[in-house]
Amino acid sequence: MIKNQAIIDRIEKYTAGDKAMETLVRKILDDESDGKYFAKSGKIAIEKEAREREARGK
Amino acid sequence: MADTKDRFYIENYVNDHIVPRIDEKKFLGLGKGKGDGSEDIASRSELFLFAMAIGINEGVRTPLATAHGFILDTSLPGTGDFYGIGNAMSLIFSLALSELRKENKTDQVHDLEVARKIAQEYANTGFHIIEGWLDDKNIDEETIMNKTIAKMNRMASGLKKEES
Amino acid sequence: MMRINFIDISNYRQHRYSHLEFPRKKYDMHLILAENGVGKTNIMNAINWCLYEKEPYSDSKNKTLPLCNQVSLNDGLAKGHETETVRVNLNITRDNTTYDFVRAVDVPVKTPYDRRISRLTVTITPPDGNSEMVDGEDARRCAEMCFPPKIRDYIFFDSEQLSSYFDRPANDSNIKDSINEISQVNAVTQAIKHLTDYMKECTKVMSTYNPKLKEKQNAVDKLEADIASMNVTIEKLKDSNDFAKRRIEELNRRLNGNESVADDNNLRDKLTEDIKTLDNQERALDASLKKIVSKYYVLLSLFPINKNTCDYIKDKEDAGQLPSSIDPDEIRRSLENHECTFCKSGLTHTSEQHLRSLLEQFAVSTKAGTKLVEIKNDVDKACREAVKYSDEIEKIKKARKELVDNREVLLRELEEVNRRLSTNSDIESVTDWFKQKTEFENSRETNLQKIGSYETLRDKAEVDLKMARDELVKAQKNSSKCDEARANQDVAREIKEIMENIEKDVSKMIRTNMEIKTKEWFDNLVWKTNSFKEIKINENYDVELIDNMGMSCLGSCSAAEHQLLALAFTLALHKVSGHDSMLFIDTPVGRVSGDNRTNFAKGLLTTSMEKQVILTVTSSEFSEELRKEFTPECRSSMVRLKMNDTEKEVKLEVE
Repeated sequence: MIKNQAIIDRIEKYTAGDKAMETLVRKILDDESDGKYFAKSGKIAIEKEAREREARGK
Repeated sequence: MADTKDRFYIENYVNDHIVPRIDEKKFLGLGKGKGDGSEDIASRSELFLFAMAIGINEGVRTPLATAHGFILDTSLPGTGDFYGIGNAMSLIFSLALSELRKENKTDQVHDLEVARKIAQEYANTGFHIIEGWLDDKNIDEETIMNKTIAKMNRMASGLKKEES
Repeated sequence: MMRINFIDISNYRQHRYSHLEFPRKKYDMHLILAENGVGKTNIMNAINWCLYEKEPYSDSKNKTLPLCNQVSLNDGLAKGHETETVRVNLNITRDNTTYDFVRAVDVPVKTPYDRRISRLTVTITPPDGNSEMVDGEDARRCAEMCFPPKIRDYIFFDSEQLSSYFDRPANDSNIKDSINEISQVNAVTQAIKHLTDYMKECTKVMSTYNPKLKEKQNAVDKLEADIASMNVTIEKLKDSNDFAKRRIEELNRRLNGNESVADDNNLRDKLTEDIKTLDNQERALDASLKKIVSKYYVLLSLFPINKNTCDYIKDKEDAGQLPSSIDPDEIRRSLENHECTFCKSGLTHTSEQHLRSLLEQFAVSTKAGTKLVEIKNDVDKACREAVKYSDEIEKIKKARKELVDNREVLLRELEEVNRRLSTNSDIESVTDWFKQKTEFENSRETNLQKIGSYETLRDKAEVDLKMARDELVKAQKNSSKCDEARANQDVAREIKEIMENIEKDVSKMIRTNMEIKTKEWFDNLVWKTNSFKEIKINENYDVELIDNMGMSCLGSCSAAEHQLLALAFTLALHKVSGHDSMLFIDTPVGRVSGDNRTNFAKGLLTTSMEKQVILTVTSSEFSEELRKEFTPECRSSMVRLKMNDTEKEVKLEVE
């Protein structure tokens, strides 16, 4: 998982209060640093967020 | 041949083969630059009038075989002070009057299509003469510039004689 | 913070059985003393073999001898054993959690060179005491987490590495890759790559519904790639110019330091600059001349025609054959309504008669006449403008002559200055400096032009990219079947932009912090106060050391200063990247002698107050300078390695 505080701080900064996006970005980076396949984790998380946005009418 | 009656035409050949060479070589500062501010940029109107003037000096009109739109009529008045004279379209009509007087048809002087045809044919001659200069390996741009200036000096001294 | 608690080596190369403890005292400094060939380097190799199953440090005997200790193999053979076990146990503490790494392999005694698969197990004991054992892939990941392979070279050093730390070939991105690995910027970079690939996949899906999408996506991809490439080129050119600027300043200082040369050097620069200004003025004059030629050629060529036109119009006007400024239609309306269209007063019989006779006088057709009246002023102006040609051309000629004369004067002066400079007694150096300076100046000039061109092209490409992106989005919106893929792509794009900002920000922050921390450590280590002004690190992590004169001086530093800078850089790296681990240095002062050893020893001792430092040294290295610094009070442990009589087994003596 991501341990570099500088990266963690900037995830918060650049997601500007959007908690869902902050969680998503953090998850993708944690998975990436742990060597998890993007196709199995990151991609699924992105598609889930896209569906949720559609449901929220964003 | 020329469909829209709001512009001056040149031959397709001139547009495809001669104008690009003038642009590439920035010939006598008449080429259209690439817009990065580093090259001479002359308007198409200036190029057209220059070619027309070459044709007038040669005294030969060359009818257009094909037509490619080159400058809009509205380009010649420009911002209202083209070459320090106001509306450069007046020069086109002046030229037309000169030709029509030879044929006793001065009542057509207001006809833009008639005036346009005359200007286009003189310009066509001029463009083909410029092509000859570009093709001639024995002369370079500096020589042509010097010859042009020499000719202009002669024309100017002719004016002085007239005035005196 | 990470430190090694102990290493236990069984049957590994010269080490039949070696147990090294590293207890912590005020200075976490540990010495391993041994002559060359006794097994110092193989302690580093043992650690690496345990963690990664690799032996990266050179030891000539490793090439010819099997992994398993020879005495052990012979014993095993004598006892009828099939195999002997090679085992290395490394015990570390990292952030209050203990990791016990054990790698073992059974080596056949009769065919000891046969490769066998080794096993790694790790026992993890957190502060609460609940241990967990992992093996296989989990054990491997655990080892890489504690000692990331890419930064191995910044934890374990030998003196050759330290000396050649900054002598990397051009385009070597190992340090940058390693730093990005430690700081996890690599994770961000990889995520961006995966997101980009995913977005392309989404476009592919959308393209199956709308084939034109692929075209438009390709156009966007190409523009993005072109812009990225241009930005890289622009940055390289700017870096190159910054470098050239510093060199020029340095050379100027050298030239100006030579009294007789200083004034002439400045004069030479001024004259060169003035000549350049004249060149620019000449170019501007040429452009003006061309404008004058294109304008007056037209006006002069048309002069006879225009003059005749003016005369013709005047004749017609004098004969009253041209329409007056009053519109004939207005006259007709006035007559029809029996009132003046302008003042509205009724017309008298006389007025009406006058108006009728006016109408009759218009012998030239209304339209033609109107045209002639319209053009009269402009044609007249054209004639008067044409006459101005002679004055205009004269002005240009005069200005050009002045330029040419001025240039001749400046060139003569420049020739004289160059002649004086060439007679200077220190001619070879001065000539060389001037040559270098001219080369750098020319290179800067060329680069500036290139930067300008590239920036223009890039700016245009960015405009094109925006248009291409807008077209792509429009095309995507037009196909309702693409909704799902587009929605996924939008989310991915948003994440990618966030990550790109993070990557750029953090990379820049790391470099800046590296510069600051390296300088701080270097100031502490080098014992020379105020000698060095700053450290600059570029995007490729090339290090430049700048002295107080603003001159780059890495090349003129002593070997010890080089090694101290390498050490400072490494310590900064550990701090800035957040991967604060111990340091293991094999023969650190092998290439350093005399007073410089003292400096280096002092530096290492200071370091050991904050992190564990393990040094292996030979007895010749452990000279008086080192002994004076690494006293028994100052070091936490010292072990002496000796070979036994057979020279096949290492014995340890704890001091």
